[in-house]
Amino acid sequence: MTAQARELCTGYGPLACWWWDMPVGHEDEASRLKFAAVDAMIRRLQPYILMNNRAGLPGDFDTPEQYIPADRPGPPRRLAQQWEACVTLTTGHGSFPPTAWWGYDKNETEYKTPSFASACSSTSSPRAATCCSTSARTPDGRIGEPELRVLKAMGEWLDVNGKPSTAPPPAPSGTCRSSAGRRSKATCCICTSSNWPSNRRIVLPGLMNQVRGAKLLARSQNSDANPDSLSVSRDEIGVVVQLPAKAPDAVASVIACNSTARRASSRTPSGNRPMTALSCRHLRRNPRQTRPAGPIRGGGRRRLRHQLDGANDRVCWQFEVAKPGRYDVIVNYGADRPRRAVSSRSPAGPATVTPKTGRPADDTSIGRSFELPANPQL
Amino acid sequence: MKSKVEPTGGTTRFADHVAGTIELPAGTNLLQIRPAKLPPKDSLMSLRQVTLRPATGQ
Repeated sequence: MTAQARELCTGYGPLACWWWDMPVGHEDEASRLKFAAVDAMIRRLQPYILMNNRAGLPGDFDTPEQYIPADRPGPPRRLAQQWEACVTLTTGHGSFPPTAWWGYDKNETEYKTPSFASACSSTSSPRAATCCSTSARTPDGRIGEPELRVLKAMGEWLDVNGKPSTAPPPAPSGTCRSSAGRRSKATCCICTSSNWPSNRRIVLPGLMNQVRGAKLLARSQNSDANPDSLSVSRDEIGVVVQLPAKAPDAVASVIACNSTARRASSRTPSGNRPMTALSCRHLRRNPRQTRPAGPIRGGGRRRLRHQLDGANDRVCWQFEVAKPGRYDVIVNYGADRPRRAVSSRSPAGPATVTPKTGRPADDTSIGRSFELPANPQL
Repeated sequence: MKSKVEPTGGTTRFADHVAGTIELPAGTNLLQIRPAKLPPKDSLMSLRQVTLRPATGQ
């Protein structure tokens, strides 16, 4: 296999992807080491290649089979940021039950419903996921009628809702999927009809930029709301969009929010994303308590910082915690040496520094410190 | 929770410092940083980011 892998990696130019599959019977440690050696060789010969995780090694993307990770019940499972959901249109009611067969199966009697397939499309995106619905061909090369019916329904759904679903939808909460490309000014939120909020409102937590309006891409004839203009407001958590009582699309309804700038949302702790980064872009501003953050340049990227100069300066973040518990607080800052007021040179030794207070230089009382109050107030 | 400010070599040279561990309940939380001790005419820090990482220690 090593020689074949080397030939593939050296004889056909740049390769985009290496898709390991079915290492059945090779789960022992010796095989894992061999896989690791081949894996390393492939990465050395094709440094830009993407490899999946099916060789028993951490890959560039995971390959959940027959399910969408965000929709799987049970405790959250750590996944790579990228994943490719491998979903067949068959259901496992054919020749090899309960396995849903990947090729043509003349005995298959049940297929995925059009709503399931469209829901898969609604939860996939180019950045976060790829939904792979396969259609097995009949022996004469045609796509079977049941699968054709599902694919047509998916196409009809995408005709209406397809454009926003191409934006990446990381899910900040369990109620909706919020997404925005880094260069996109639109934030899209997809609600499936099964989790359509009963209180007729959906919250985009942490979305700090201004939202001009929101609309439903699908239209419902018996809707009680104008799909082109949904009421948008802001509360302490984020942006709130008022929804009609009933989902306009039976499969998955897409809400498109028009924002004025790039997304600025604070990331929240969750099972799949345990770290929370509170940057100065996401500061909870209060003119009485905080000074505006000033832009600086560093490392070729425009970054924001907040200068704490006065005893009354404060910075405050408001954020959502999905997973309670103990968290390490890691503060990223830059600081000069403490300013000394008076310096003097001793004739017997090197320079010593004496602050105005007259305390010796190594007195810790001249040091600077910050605190995180237990019950902060805005 | 209090933490001492260590010099990083300048206000534009940023470094991570573990300030301590806090208990966070589920839901909306507020996190505030303010000076605890700051000599007159001195500057505390140029703050860029706070990261909350699930505590790994006991």
